[in-house]
Amino acid sequence: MSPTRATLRAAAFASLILALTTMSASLTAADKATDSSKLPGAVKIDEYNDQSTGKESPVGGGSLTIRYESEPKILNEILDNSSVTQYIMSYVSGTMITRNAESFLMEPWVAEKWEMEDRLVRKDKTEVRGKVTETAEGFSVKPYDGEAVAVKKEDAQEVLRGTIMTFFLRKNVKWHDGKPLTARDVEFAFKVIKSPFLEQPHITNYYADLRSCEVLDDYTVRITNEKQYFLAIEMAGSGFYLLPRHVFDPEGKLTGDPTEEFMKAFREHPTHMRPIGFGPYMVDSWDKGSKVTLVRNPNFFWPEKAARIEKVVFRFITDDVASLQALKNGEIDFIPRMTTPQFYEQTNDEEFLKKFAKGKIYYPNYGYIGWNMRKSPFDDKAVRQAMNYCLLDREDFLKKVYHGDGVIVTGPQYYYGEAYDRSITSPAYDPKKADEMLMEAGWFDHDGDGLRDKDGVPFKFELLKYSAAADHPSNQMSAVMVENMKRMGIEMTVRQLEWPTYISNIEKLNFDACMLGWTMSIESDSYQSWHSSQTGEQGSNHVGFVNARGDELIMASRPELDDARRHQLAYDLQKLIYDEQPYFFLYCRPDYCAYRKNYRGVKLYRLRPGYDLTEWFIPKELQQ
Amino acid sequence: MRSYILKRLLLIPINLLGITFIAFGVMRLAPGDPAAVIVGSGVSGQMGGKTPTREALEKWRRDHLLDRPVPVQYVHWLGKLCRGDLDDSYFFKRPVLDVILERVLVTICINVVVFILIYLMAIPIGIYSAWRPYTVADHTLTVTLFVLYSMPSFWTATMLLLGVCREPAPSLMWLGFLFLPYLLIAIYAMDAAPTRGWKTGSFLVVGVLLPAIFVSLLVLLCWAGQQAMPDRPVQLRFPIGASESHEIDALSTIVMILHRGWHYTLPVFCLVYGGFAFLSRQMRAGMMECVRQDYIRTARAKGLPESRVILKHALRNSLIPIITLLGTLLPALLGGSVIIEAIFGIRGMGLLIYEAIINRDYPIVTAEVFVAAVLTLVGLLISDLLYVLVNPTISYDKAAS
Repeated sequence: MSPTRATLRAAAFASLILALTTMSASLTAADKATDSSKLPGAVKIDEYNDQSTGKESPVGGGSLTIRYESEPKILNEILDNSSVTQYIMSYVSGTMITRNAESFLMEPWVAEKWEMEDRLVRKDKTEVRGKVTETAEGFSVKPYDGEAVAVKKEDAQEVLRGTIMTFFLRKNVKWHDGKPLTARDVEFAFKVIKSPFLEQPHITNYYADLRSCEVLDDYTVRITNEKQYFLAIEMAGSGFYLLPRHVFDPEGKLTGDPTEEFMKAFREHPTHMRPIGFGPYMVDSWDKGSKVTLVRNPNFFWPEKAARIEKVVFRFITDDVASLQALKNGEIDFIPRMTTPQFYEQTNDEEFLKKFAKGKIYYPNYGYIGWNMRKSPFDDKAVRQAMNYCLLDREDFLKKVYHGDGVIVTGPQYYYGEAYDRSITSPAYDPKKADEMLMEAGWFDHDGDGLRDKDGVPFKFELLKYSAAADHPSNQMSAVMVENMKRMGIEMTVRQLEWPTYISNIEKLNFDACMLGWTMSIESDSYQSWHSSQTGEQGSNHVGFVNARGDELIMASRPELDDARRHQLAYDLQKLIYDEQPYFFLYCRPDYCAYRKNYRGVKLYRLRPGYDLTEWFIPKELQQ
Repeated sequence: MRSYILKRLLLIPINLLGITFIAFGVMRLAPGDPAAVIVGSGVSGQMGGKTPTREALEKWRRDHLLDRPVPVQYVHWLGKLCRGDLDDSYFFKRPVLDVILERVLVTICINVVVFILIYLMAIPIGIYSAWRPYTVADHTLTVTLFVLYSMPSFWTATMLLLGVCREPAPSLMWLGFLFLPYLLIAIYAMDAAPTRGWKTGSFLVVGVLLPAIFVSLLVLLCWAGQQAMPDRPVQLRFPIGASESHEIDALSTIVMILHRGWHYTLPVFCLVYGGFAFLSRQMRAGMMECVRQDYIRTARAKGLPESRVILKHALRNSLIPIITLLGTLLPALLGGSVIIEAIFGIRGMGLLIYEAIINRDYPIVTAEVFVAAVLTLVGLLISDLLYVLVNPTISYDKAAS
């Protein structure tokens, strides 16, 4: 299940999603003119602020201080994947294209447009680039910038669609030091993330399929992906932040791939303490242990999307009590993540509500109880299905403990995304039905000791849970489950472990049932957590879900570039998974936030990080 | 004496070898996998994002020798240590020494101030209550100190945060609340004084001068602290984070130091009161022991003035337990308090080692244990040597004994 309160490192690994979505939160005036309420992720402006008239026009000026729990190790998004670094850098640096937080589609950023082309591989291993259409004799391959080439059927080996992506960069983008941003900078960043000496195994793994990056001219780059993959455009276009080559390699010595010494120098480069980017904000200062101050970039390349607030300060306050106090004192203006008691109990006085708006931010996540499908009793589908009726009254728990904030999910994709089938709903809590199902599966109390048993083995299991603060709702949840199970004649015990120990137990598949959550992107590749090849130790399919039809659906959806068809495959997979019940699905839960009502233009998106400070502004009359 | 010091110095490396080996082993025997935490994916309770492959994790473990037996790892670590290299942190991916140096300064500064304050207050109070035991003043002190000693610092810190870090600032009531038991002590102290002149003197010092200094210091700190925000009226309140505002560059040096003081007032207070209560009880007990001794009676019988009896003859002997405690001070200087640092947002050594343990950042933990071990051993040696200084009957010299 998803924690409402983050620990020091909380959200550190949600970085990918963060990196991909932050910049996309901007909307042009033109976009706003179109009917944005029809977009899948549409949200209202100033939804939680009753002082907004909706008529204020954006003006520059003012400042905003935002609280973060932890401090960056280093201000480079490649070398530090903590969420705070990713978030700060999303304002300072950026990617070629971004994902719009309301339409969930890719849109231009540094690259004003891009071409996706197919690749036809001939039997002699040579390749042809262009849009591939089938003709009577074979294939016709038409590149966007040239004449069509015909390839005979017997010469062609395979067609890989959408694997060649050509990005056309804007010519007016400047780094904060005034130097122009060119295709060479893209190439440099590409070389860095592909370098085996980067010492960031998760990045090296993630970009493994990106094959090459060619500089066509100063403002055109072409990235080729090895395989046909629906996320290829995301990896290539918005997967990595651009790096100023002239800073790290001023003499242009780097012609081939970076050497080990070069990467060592890169990792330790002093610029990472005060990075140079091209984004709407520039790093002004970093007071170690205290805060990072950003100032508006006056020379931002896209005036319509430039920031309005003059100064943004990221303050690092570890303690939750201290941060709420700082908000009340006026030392900070925005807390993006509050605890449930803070949101519902400690901030209800009139004075607080007069000054601050409280909002909810949904992001792709869900919680679940995972059943270890390798072991009895959860190797039996009927038992898992029975659990779906009796483990927890989800609706009741949501209402009573979470104040109704959240949605019950039935599948592994994001509830508000388009790959999620909302027609599959969760059944009501029904212990009677569960009882019938367990009876049918042979689990009933043969020996009269009050516990169900089968073949002489009593129904007992242990729920592995990470330890959380005493008032954390996950503790209440496990307590309710124990009680419910007792009523069903099942003995459930709870073992709490601190996170590192917990996760190494999960990796070693050493559990009966586990309480966990996933943080995803708007549409995730199910391969990692549901494919049968990932069931080994340290695999993400820790519950051991093995299903031939499931594998087929996953493998079919990965190269599927057509959104509608891929979503259909995702729906089918969701249906299959929900029927198999490898997880007891719980909720997709929002984060709670509070900000000063002076700020307008605030949109709380349904994608990480859920807000874009460049849109926020303070009406002139509220600026001191 | 010289041979004793030499012997002790030679023993230090052997002790260190044992301590570090145990520390090294214990950390690595603890469950949890650094590769999974540091390289792998994992928000507490949530997984997601980019995950490394199994091969990448294996490679990471190989690169950091985690696939080898613990003794082999230890020998490697020892080898590096001999070359002055404390290894690289897994989490920060930088040399451990750099990370520690970055964090250690603030902890040392706070702790130096804390220790000076503790000793400055605890010793006179301890002497006083031992000199006039079982009087009303002593009882009031005892109760007050026990109350202070039993207040957990995390609770006090949170209460202060809610009470004193408010804007608009709270009224002066809270100061008065603190002042009440103090006034009581002052009045009774006056009562215990032998002559009329002493009575007035002690009341003026304890009841008026000291509180006046204390209050004016607080006011001064608040004034200096709020110089960075000149547009607001100065209030008797303290900041939430212990980190300085960077606007202070414009202030003069003295104001800047006071400004820092303002930021560290609350954490320092939270760290001082517990230790101070404890130490003054220690001091009182040691002193009580001494004033009962025959040589004190002899000194008094000789007609020595009371001040000389107490401050020279009794005090020197009663310092022995205090000096023993002093031996543990050196490592404590670098230790830092996890709770106070977390609440007041001080990025010091306490938080560093806490995070390192949570993240299974072995190099940092081992390095901190190593440094603490060195300092403990040196501190013990120093305190053993100081015994000779305060008590001439203790001698490590065979010839002299």
